[in-house]
Amino acid sequence: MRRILQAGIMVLFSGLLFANNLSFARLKYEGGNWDTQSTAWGELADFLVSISNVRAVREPLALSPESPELFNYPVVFMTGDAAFFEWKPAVIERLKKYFDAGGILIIDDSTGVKDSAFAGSVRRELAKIFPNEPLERIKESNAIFLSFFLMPKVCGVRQAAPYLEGVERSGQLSVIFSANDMFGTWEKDKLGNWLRDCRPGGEAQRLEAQKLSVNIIMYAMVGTYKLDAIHTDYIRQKMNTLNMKIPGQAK
Amino acid sequence: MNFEAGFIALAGAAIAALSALYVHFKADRKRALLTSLRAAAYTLIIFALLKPSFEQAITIKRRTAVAVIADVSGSMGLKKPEDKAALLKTAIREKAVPLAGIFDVSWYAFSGAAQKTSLEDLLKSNRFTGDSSDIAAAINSAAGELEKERPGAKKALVIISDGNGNGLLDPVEAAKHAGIPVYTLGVGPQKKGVDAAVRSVSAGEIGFTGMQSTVTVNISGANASGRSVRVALKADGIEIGSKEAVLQEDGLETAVKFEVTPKETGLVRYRAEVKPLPGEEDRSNNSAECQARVLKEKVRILYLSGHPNYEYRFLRQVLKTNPNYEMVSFILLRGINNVMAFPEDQLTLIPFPVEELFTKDLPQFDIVVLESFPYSEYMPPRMLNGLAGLVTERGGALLMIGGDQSFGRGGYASSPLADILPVTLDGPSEHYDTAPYRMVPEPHPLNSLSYSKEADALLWKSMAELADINVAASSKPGAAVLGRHPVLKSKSGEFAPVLAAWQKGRGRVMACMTGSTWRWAMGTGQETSSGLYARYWQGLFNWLSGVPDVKQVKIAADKKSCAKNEPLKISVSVLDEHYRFENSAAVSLLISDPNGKKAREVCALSGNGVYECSVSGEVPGKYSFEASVYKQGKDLGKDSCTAEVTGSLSEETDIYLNEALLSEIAEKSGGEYLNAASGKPFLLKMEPETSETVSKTRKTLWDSPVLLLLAALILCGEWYIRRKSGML
Repeated sequence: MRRILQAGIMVLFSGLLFANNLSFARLKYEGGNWDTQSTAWGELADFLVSISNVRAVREPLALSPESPELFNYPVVFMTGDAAFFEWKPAVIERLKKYFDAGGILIIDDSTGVKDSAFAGSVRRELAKIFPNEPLERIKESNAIFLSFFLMPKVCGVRQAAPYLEGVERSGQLSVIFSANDMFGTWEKDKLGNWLRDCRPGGEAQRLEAQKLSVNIIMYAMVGTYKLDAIHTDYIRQKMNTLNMKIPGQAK
Repeated sequence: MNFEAGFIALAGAAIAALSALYVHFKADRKRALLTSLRAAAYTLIIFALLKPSFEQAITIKRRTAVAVIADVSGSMGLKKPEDKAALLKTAIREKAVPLAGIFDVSWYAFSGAAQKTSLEDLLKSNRFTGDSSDIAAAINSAAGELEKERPGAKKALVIISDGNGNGLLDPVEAAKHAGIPVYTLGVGPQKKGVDAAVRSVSAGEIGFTGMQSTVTVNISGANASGRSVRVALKADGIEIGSKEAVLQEDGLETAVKFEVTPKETGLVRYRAEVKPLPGEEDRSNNSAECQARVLKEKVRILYLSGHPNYEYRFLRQVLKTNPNYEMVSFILLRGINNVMAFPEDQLTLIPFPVEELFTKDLPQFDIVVLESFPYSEYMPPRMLNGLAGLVTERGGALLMIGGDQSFGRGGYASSPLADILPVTLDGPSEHYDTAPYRMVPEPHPLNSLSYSKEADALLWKSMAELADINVAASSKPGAAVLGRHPVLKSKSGEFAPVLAAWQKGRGRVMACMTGSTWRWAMGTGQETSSGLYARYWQGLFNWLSGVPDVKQVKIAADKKSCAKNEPLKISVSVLDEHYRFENSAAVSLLISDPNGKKAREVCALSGNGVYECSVSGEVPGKYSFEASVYKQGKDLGKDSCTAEVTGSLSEETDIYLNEALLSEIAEKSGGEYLNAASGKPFLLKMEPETSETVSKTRKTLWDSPVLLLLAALILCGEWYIRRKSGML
């Protein structure tokens, strides 16, 4: 009941948000558990606003794939920790249109376990939406690893997969999938303590995961901006100074 | 047989139930008999209620349908070097008529769409006067006709022609999509001597100075397979390159590519020539031309955004995917008020080179975009003088996009840009509204997303709502307002402008008072409108950069070439200085014939800023047309175009048989090609007869009086046994 009320308030609130700000629009799907990491979003919004010019809204909102509001949010977040029901053909068609229009779906597996039941459901549905564009490892040379922080490590509360996966179309990522419970690193209890311990890397691992989540959001807002020549020369120089390995395809 | 649903299941269940009853009442035979009779009666009643039926199809054997389509275009009437009409009739008699003994043949004649006729008329006709040979139209119409007459039956088409198609549609594609085999019979003389020809020359419609582009010359030969020829390319009469190329088999084309780098802007005419082969008699096809417009190098865009946002992401995609644009962008990812929680070496941020950009680099750019860019945090207002000068003196362009740090709220009301913007700003407290609304487009060429007003209206209606607007005090006199807010009003009382543009000095300025046009790309989920969004913004950027799409005066001929005395329509579209349709201009057309003789015509308004004039030419060769447009003595501009007047219709020159096309049509559709003069029999690889379902009837099993009688007898029998046994 609490969740239904919460979702209702979120949807009601969504109409009041300014469209060019970042809203944490969360995909509310049938079956499984869509509302994991529920305390993460406000923390993440505060962090984004404090360190960058991103205008982020603290309160998340829930959107069903069939919601008429879906297309008002070019970035949608999907989390879960269990298998969920198969999506109806109408939902698949709607999401195809969403991605064709330029929408981005950021998925985080809250189990932090590789090949979890949630991941299985995600892969099953994505295969229907993108029959010819499989979910593939995102290369280290992708703009996502340069969009704000320099090459953050791929991790989360857990380290299930040291890589992100994605569906790339026309040079842009439409789907970004993290298996590591990345957004879980932002969850806090009522006293302001981190809710989950990051293992095996502890607080250093949390920081890397948080940097990665900022990069992913920045990518969703500015695309491949950091691959412009004016940036890559500077970044390459910086990486040389720091003795960092330059990914093969970074310009 | 098709029984109604559930019948078979019920019958099975009844048998199973009876068997079960028998086993259950094995010891008491009389009770078992009575129960069985009752069950049988019920089963019969239920059987009748389920209304079982079956479908009976009546099939008969019919001959396969074949449409024979004979070419009666003008080229078939040519008598030299051979009488093609006579060859056609011979082919009909010798190759097609025998088919009528095997198949169900119907006869058609074509020049455009196929027209049904009779064998007798075809053989008697001397009217080979059609002015085109539209083989695709003939295939489509005959296949459609056959399907109408014999739906579902096996069919084939037989085309008897010289293969010199000149219709708009590709006959090979038409044959592929007809879904039935197309057999082709070629009639006409074959080229005997050697021949090398330039089939086409193509260059991109627009090129850029200093940038390499490709001109492709397609050549072919007859009786010259494997021979080497020299292909030369000329630009405006000057040879710019030549290459040796090898001719392929007859009918196959060889592409010869030339890399060209135009040095000057304007129209450039490319002419390709192939050196005649020794002994080549027909030299009329040894050259061909095309033209391209050369613009100055890529349009360079500087995009400055005040914060990461979707408007930037979507516009970036539009600009980055257009090869005509080169974009340099800076987004203020971190503001001056953000905390420095991380050491610089963990970040990818680069310093914003504001001084360098606005003092040194600015002249390199053609368009500057300021999107919610808080200039006052980074530079003094005087630094914007350079940007104002770039527009007014150097012919550059400025696009300001809305947001909470744009226009009046961004402090631009007191900046040097306030004078050049097409809207009057309202100071730092300018109203910035974030309620969703649908922009109301004004009639303007830049708002044209399709080819008709009605379609435009529908498309604009389908565009998603915008989500913010900087409400300017007013639009300035002389500015063209492209779109307005449906409800909100400016201080001047007009509906608040959403998009406004004007020419300022030598340059152009556009004010997009919203930062949420990305919503047009996302659409509403009903239709994907990202194509419209991209097309609309391309149009706006084209206008800002002054590419010819939105020239004030634009001339076009309805055909690139026409025959002697054939009418040619010249259209001149005219926009006023604010790029609105100009309907009260004087448009005159200067016509120059190939001998340099000049004549002048007046074009008449045909609606929405378009003026038309019909001309025709008597002298074969290139005609040039120059439109001059004036309004009340003011010169609105000039534009020119060319068109070729050919000495004859292609139907008059298509002498030889085009076997390559006829073979390809047959091959791609599953048919076969035969040269009618080959002496070989013309066979269709098809069954002469096929079974066709002509009608279907549904028969019922339940409405029989026998069924009713049987049920009554069973029930009576059961009653009798019960009575006899004293069970009643």
